[in-house]
Amino acid sequence: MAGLGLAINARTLINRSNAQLWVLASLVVLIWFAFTLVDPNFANSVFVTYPLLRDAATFTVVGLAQMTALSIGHMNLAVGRMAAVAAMVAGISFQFFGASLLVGALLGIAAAALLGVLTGVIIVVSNVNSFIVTLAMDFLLVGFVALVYTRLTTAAAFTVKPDGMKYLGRASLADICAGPVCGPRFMPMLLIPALVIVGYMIWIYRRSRFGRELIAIGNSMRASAAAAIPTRRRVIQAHALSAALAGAAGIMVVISNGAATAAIGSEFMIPSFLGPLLGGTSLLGGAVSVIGTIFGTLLTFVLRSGLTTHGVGLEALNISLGVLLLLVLSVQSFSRIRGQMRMAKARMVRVRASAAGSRR
Amino acid sequence: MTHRTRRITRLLGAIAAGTLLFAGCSANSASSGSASPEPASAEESAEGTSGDDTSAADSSAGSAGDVMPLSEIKVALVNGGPHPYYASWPDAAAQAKKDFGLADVTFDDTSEWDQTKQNALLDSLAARGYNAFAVFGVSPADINSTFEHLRDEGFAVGSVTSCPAGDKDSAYFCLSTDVEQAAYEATKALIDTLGGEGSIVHVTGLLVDSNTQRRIEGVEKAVAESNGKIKLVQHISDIDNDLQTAEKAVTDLLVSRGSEVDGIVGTSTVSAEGAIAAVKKANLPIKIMAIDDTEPILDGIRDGSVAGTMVQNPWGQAYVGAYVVAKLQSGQCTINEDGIYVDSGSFLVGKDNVDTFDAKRIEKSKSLIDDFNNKYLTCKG
Amino acid sequence: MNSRRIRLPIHEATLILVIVIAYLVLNGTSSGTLLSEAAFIGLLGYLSLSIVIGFSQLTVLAVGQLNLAVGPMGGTVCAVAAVLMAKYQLPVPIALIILIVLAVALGAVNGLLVNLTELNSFIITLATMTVFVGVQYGLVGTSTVSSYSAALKGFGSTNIGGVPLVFLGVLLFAGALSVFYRKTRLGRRSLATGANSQGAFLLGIVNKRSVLVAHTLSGLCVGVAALLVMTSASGINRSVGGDWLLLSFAAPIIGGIALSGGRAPVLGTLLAATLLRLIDVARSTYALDPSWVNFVIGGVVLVTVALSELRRRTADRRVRIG
Repeated sequence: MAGLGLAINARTLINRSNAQLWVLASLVVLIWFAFTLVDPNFANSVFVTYPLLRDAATFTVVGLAQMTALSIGHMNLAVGRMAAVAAMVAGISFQFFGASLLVGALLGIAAAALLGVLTGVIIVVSNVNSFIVTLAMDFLLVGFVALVYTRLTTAAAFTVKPDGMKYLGRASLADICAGPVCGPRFMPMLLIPALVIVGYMIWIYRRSRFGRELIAIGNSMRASAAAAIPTRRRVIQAHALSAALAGAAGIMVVISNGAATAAIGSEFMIPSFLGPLLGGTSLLGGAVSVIGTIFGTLLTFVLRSGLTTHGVGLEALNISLGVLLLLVLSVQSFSRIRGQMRMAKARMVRVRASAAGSRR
Repeated sequence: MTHRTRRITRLLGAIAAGTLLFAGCSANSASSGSASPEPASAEESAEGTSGDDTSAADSSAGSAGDVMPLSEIKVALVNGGPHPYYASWPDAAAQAKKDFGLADVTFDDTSEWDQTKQNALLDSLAARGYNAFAVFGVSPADINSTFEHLRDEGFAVGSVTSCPAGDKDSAYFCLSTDVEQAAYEATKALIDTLGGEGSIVHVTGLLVDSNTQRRIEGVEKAVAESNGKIKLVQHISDIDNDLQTAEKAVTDLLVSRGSEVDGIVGTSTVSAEGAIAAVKKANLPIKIMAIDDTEPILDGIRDGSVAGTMVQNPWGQAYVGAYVVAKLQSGQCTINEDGIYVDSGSFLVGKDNVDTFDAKRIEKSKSLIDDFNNKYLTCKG
Repeated sequence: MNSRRIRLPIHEATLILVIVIAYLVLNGTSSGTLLSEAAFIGLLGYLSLSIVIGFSQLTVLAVGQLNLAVGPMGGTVCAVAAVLMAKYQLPVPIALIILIVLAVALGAVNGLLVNLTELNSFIITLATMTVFVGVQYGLVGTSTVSSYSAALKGFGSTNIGGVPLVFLGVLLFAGALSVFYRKTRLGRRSLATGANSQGAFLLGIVNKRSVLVAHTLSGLCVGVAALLVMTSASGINRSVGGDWLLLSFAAPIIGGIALSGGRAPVLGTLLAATLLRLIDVARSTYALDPSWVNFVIGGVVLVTVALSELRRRTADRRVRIG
């Protein structure tokens, strides 16, 4: 019977319309209120809401990085480590070259994007699953990043802060005033870069031809190739974009932490999938939701922060995140299996296509 | 497509408007959390802070003169992550709560050796009403910004077990072992048991920990004093998080260079335990000087497989640390020298005093409390 | 199909050659210490574990699946066994049987979930991994559970002339696994479907039976690895299994598995694990930073992956020529 309840939920959640976004948004608000009712401490703006929104801002960008890879039916398991590389490059430029915040951030993002290009090229050239390639890339970068930190520092962190970094990491919208009225204090300044990125991603996937082509590739590589989309180049570009976003998230962590360390990004993997998947992005490619990723990430972090404020241990936190991911996956695949007839047909075409491709 | 975009934009707009309505915007002249509708500022009436950055003005200055009883202080003892060193901290927390009449003393070791997580944990403890913190910072290189953040919000914070890297300490005080001296003495003791000659290996903890750097210096100093009679084969670092890794790393070394090693000095608990286990399995005649007083180490001393151990004072660090941050937070006392360093003591333990050293250590903790009361703090009344 | 017969020995002969050279070089720099009995015990004891960890990924990779949860699964079953023995005074054999059965069951759960959702095994095992991490933490918390049979803990170093008994056991296990893939109908069929479903796998179409078998087998390997940990570790804590993931992929990939599935190079995995073990020893011999190991292994894996298409093409050409 539980399956039936899930099934009913599945229809509302998976139907990729605005209804799903409303459900998700209301869930975020409801859960927030529920936690506040149980424990008024949860409404604490300085120690709960502010860090919650700051993390959510960062992880929305992480989610968007994963969403970009998912949009072409790929995955990027190296999101965390690409963020670490960006953080490292930025940290080095601050520490040794006295770079300004903006220059360091751009250098870091560029370094990550280069790694993304490399990943994309390997995927295209080797024909190996993206998750194996990005996993191998992750392994390589783990060692590389740790090595650089131990070589260049004694304390395994780059701690030099360029002008404005400390401010950006701690300031809130209360510093932005229109006459006598200022923004709320619980909204971190880091929301602004996150919203700029969100706006850019909405533009890409809604308005640009590039975004439409990525979605088309996610739906069917073969049909896209037939429609004269340069699929190989787009795959490489998608991975570069994914990596650049991961890098931006890494820089955001540096700003909120106040230092670049090798540990940055090690916790990115699960949230990077939870955000987009909760928001309605398909694991199989071809369907994305930028706004959904925001609310998916918010939901994850409201849950996480609610549980920690309750003093719930790590074990319960991990278990609930894992179970949440499993639930989302089951719901998604239920809806997919519902439309199996249609999908099966499409798959047959694609299998034949890839069989033909591998014979070539 | 366009239609959908518009709907989404509307959705976003609605939500943004809703949040703003719900939260209320802050007034331009607002200071501190009192502008927000949430009951956040309840715990924020604390003594003044000496923060030096932009948000210092926002903090709860002005209440500097207020004195509250210790029964209103909730102390959080936060370490870097799970580690056997902290086995006695829950007991120290309970004892401090009872002895000093504090509202609560909690011990939390869920930082997972990750500074981001530790910062989040500290925030969540603050949200739960804890207002005095004794912290072992995960990343000593940037822990000062965490300390400043806590002080800006009006909390007393002390650095325990490890001090921030560099010369600056943004916490009110640092209470830890003089690790360089302890490592130096332990190495000296090992060199003595070796008869003043041979090759030794140093196994130790995380390189990120500033303690590790100081320990390496201590060991090297002792080796240098032997005038070349003692050869330092290598430092093995970053093996203090789990026993398996530590044991494997030492085994790897013994596999290739076991025959040339005469002694091992361990300056972090887990790495020392790993060395003991690895040497036992390899069945080599290697002398070990360990650190701390976990069961495997004390058992090793009793059965002779471990030459000695440099015992630190974790219980005292927690107990005394909790006392001092509580006193500071209550406004009853102020620190004389901001960021002062205090040695929590270390004791060389061998077969002769393995069952008696604890009494000496408890004595040391008591004298530490006296030292704070008489020398490092200025208290009212 | 002929290509397998031609190519496999070449790959494995190369591995053996590299291992022998590496060993000789290491032995040279360590002035012969590497040949001592103590060194053998240290070398082979951990090697046993590495090999079985490699198998736990090999069994799933062979049919085009993967299992991110190997480490936390191993850690969880170790924690269960340790808690049962230390807290509930359960006799050692019973606890160990529970450990193996539980590991197999957890593997089967992974397989069932993959079949049920028809999704990529990566994302499913990412979710179960997170759950297992939580369970392991919940069981042992931040402490090390060690108050159980000392005889069990010492069993790992029981040896005959420097060769640990557990290593002989692992060789037997490897033999059994090899026989399973070569001689039994179930094993051969699993591999065949793994090979044929290459394209289908990418799209989430999987042969349900071979998926279930593969994940269950992976669970069994995790169980054996956990057993090895129980016989050598001086206690069980939350970090058991934490460092298995890289090793589990590196051994089969370097061992020569076709990444799209369809082959199970048991011997290759065993040899690759040996090579990886020597990298560990080399690191400590030359006092290199520990992150070098990850960097080198990650690099070798990435290059192997990047070149796999090239190798596949060469293999295809050979088939055509032959």
